[in-house]
Amino acid sequence: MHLVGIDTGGTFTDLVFYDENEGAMKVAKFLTVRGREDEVFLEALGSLDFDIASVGRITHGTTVGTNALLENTGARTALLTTSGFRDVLEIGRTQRLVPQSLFDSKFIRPKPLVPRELRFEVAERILADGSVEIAVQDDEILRQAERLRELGVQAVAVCYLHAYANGDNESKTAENLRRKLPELFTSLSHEVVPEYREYERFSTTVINAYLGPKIRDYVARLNTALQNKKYRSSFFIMASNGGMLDAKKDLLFPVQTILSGPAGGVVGSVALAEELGLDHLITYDMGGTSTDVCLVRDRQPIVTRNNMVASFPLNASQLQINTVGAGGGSIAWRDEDGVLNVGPKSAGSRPGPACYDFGGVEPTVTDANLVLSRIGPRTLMAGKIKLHPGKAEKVLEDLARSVGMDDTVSMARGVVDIAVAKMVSSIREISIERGFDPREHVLVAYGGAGPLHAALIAGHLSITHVIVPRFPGNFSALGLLLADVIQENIRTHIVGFDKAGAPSIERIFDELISRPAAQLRSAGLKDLCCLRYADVRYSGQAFELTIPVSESGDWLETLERDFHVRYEERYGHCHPDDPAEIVTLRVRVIGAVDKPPWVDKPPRAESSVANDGLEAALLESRLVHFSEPVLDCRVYQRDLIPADGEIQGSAVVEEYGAVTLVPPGWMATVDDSRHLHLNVSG
Amino acid sequence: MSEEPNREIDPITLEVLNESFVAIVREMRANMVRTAYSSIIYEGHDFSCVLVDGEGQLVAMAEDNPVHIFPVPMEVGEMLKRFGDEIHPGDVFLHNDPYTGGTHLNDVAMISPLFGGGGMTIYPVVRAHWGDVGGTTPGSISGKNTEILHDGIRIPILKVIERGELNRGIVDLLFHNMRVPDERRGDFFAMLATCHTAHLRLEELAGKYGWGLVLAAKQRLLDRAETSMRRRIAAVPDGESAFEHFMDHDGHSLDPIRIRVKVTISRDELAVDFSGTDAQNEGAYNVGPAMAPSAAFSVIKAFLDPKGAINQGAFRPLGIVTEPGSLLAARYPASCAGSMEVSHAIVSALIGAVGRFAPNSVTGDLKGTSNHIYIGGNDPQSGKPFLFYEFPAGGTGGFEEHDGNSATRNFTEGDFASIQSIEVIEHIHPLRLRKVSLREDSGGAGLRRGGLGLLREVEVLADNALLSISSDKNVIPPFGVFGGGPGSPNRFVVERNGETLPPSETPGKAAGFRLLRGDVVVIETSGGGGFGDPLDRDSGQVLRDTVAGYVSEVGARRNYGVFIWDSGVDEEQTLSLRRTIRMNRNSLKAVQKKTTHSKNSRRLCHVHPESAEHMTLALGALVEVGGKMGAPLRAWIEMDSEMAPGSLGLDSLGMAIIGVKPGEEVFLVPLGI
Repeated sequence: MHLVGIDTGGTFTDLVFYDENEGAMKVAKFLTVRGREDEVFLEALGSLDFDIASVGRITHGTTVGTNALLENTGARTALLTTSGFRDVLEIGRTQRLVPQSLFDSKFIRPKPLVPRELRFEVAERILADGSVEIAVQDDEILRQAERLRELGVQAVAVCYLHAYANGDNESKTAENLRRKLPELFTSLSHEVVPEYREYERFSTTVINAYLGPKIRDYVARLNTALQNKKYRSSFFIMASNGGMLDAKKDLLFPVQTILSGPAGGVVGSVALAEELGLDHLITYDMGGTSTDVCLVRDRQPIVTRNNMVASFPLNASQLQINTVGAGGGSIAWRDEDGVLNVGPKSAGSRPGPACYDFGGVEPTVTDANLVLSRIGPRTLMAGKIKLHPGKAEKVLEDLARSVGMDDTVSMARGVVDIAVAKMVSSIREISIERGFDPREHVLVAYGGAGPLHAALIAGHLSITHVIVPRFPGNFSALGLLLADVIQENIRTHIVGFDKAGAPSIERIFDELISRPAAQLRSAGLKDLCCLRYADVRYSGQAFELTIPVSESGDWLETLERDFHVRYEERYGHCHPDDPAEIVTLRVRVIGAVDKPPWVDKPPRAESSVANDGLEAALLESRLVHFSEPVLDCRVYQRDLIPADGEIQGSAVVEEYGAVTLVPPGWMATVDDSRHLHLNVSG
Repeated sequence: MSEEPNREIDPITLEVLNESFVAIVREMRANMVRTAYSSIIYEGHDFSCVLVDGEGQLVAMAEDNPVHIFPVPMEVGEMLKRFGDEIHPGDVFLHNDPYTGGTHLNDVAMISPLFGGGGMTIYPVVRAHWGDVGGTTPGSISGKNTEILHDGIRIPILKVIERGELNRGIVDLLFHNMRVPDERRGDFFAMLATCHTAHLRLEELAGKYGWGLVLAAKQRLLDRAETSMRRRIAAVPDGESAFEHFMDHDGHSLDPIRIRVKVTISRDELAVDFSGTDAQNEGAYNVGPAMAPSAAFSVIKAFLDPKGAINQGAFRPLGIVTEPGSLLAARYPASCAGSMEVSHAIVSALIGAVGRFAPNSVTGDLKGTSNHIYIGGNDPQSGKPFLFYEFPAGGTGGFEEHDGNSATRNFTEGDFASIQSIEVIEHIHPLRLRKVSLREDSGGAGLRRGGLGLLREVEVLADNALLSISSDKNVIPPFGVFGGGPGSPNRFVVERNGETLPPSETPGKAAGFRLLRGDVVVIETSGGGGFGDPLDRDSGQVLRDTVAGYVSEVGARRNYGVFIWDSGVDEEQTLSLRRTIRMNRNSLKAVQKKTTHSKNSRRLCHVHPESAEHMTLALGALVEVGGKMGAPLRAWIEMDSEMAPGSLGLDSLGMAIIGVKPGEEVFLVPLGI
């Protein structure tokens, strides 16, 4: 089956195409145009010298949802909520949730996505045990629908207290709304997040409604374009949890696409771990504007439901990806006290780094790497952009002077060091600060700028093994070819560890599994895998740990035991004699799809490489600045490095879309699948 | 410090080491959350971590609670004073005594010196809120305590570990005097593990760069913060500014508590003098000597140098004076259980005083309290005891560019949640929430409106529960600035069978009020103070506020002079209404009086009885006097037939606070309570 992955990033849109006939992967990069992502998607698709109708699957990573949230361009959204509680959404937990707001007397807390005048109260009340104190009245909802129509509302979030325990009032409300307003995007809190804690649930439901119309339209436009091209096979959107969503059906939960962009690379990294037999990874994706890092333990990326986006809580299953504003285009600057900073402002693709000569006049991380000759003056960025070293030197010289340094090279090294320190710090947050030792992990480096800084970052974290996978510049798009379809389902069910309760828990699990399983089967997926989890806590505590539930007969005892063990791992102590309780039940249904082989056919005969040895891959020797200048640093072309070749640092490895730095003390090798490995030598 | 701390260091290494210090603090925080035993630490995040140097100077903090951090140097100073040469590698100290640098007794600090390069280097201090440290009531904090022995067990600077050996006897003694000792013991060891982690990281850093370079970097970072703060102070013209802030009362009498402050800027130094503040009270509203400097710093930093680094260097240009025996430097046996209320009051006083120097930074006043509220009793279903505890936020003040934030933690507080989930409360307590909303019209009116307070109606589904409250600004509301109106005060009442009952004779301070099944506890938090004259607010903006319901149509007319008609602004009516309001303001001529101007801490302002009658003000009425400064003066009406009608008698300090000279115009606004 021919497969296509297209990943829209902040700077570039990346394409990966697996050609089944040739058994080979092909890659290309296109400049992203903000607001016209769909056109670039089609441009990328059109670049294939291939009939699209013969492609078997297209998977897309998109940033449309994230951008709509960050730029406040979602739908005009209303809220219907329990009488007496219309301000829950605005009050939240009273936290500022604004970075650096301590001691800022002028901080401004972001306004909720639904303004107060579009938040309406409904006479209804469900109690904590799920019983209905006040049932919703049809005629009241019909009146509300009339009002929503008059107000020109495009989407509505229906958020009632304790709806996770009983969704009837919300469902009845939705029925009546849909009867009157079939076009309205309706989002129900008990469907989006069937869990308790109203603020987090309401916030997530509102985000879902706010993004709904925009993402629905975007996906519809892509679907129409694909149909016009006679494309009939499956079309998926990458979801934040690392699974795929069927984009040919209505996306009911667009909130699941918020991390659609960076998720692909993490999925690719997990596949890499499986192929190479590695257990623990840290994925490190450095692009033009930002860096995304994610921790993978036992080949499982860490997935959390307690997330924040644009200062709003988001209770949706997401890979735990940490983003820091440091990319190749990040700008180095000096503040009024003379403190040197890098980022978070980025030159992006326009005007871009000074060395692109697109009009950028501020020094960026890419300019610094060019001054250090770590990027060669003849390198084509993204395979097409010519570099101008003189421009880079000029802007870094100016910056050096402004902080009283007379040496442009030291300045450039400093800019890279500061960017590295920021990225190291973001990796520390997801590893050391969560109790994981980074030294147990392999660093998987990709994105246009990742391989260039990977060994430096690994050095700071005492990580001794770095992998630069194939096609590092397009790796997130490649990961899109490797994802499965994943559907999740959850329900709050608070119950102690009592054997008598086990059958009812089993029944709920079965109910939770049945709907997603049926959906996946009807989509033609046969190879299904169902995983069960429970959120457990000590009675009286307010927060839970998610523990896998085994399939064995004594799963309840195992669960309780595992809880104490995991609690001990996480918090350093546990209380086996204290009563614990189950709070939420979760299931994950995974439908496997066909995937391309990792080892595709090489673009040229292996034999010719073996004969010529490493020398055939040597492009040039040039002066490159590491912590010391290296006069005749060897520069290799990655495609031509033979499988048994060993490259001692200092060296540079170049390829389409990325440059890998092999600093002194490191050694690079290529494995059978032609992934590049960097190891601390000796 | 044997290696020269002033050696050259390049700007890049400096940034890398700076990042490393903060990273160590962050790792300490993560460690505490993972290992602590009590939920107020691992969920409420009521703890802080910091690195200090050999002299106790603050080197690095992260997203910590400033009230926890800033007293640390004084505590370390106490350690150095008491133990001096008797501090050895492996020693660990505990401290919580307010009189020598602590906050309230629940906040216990652990100091863990690290030696290297021939002396004490950079080392960690952790301060955590222990859920209970003994005392009269569970949780130890009560607004009705009258001596420190009610607050719990006092820990003077105490060596609990000597050269790596834990002094079991002392630790047992401590835990035997606390409720739930196992939890305390767990928290103690969590703090110890956190300090240990910091030691490892610091030694790694020293291994890589050498102590000489690390200490040189520390020195440079402190110097840089000092330079930054000095530059900001020097940019302000020299001068003096005074302010006076009143807390409601001490929970026993109804007399207010007065905090006086004088701020003097001379070139690049700033002096804060609290002389004239009331003596320590018999209630719980006292603090030790560390609290005034830390609360004052919060405002000075925010108004003058909000972006600068926070370390000891930034404190160097500040001089702070408190009088021993005053409530800001209380002595044995004053209770300090209400220390957070006092800390908030100091912030208000500084907003008034520093605002004069930084008119562009000033904001309307804040909620002025933590608003501790406890409902406890027995759950009729489980038969077990329950304790509901919250400290709900209020609105923040308006400022030059924007309205204040509604129901949000303010800029001097750590950013943790102050209210619990409704659904969680209804699950675990015999309580039902009837309403959670913003309080309409509670934000101080102004060109920029203060943020709104919040309202929570909590119905009690148990018999004989008890209600306790420790709050302030229930009587004297948050002030507006530059003509902005006050925010609505905090308010706590109980509704029973259609009747509204106060839970105590002393508003905002109640202990053990007995609740019946079906009672509804109504919690209302204050709005933030407004900024600027509300009559100058854009009428379209007022209209939008009424559409959203932040301001009622009545409020729009009364406070903003905006006449809303048929979902629009009636511009003509508005113009005339605004003119009328302006004309009817109580404009008086300031007159300097030499007689006594204070009665039971109340500042008096003298008016002729006829004037008082004209303004419908009774003897002893609380009023606000606005002059030329940002913040207004608060005073109580004194009848004085020697005054000429239409004039207002104030003493020289009163005139100075609002920046008016005799004969100049002042405005008098009644604070209706």
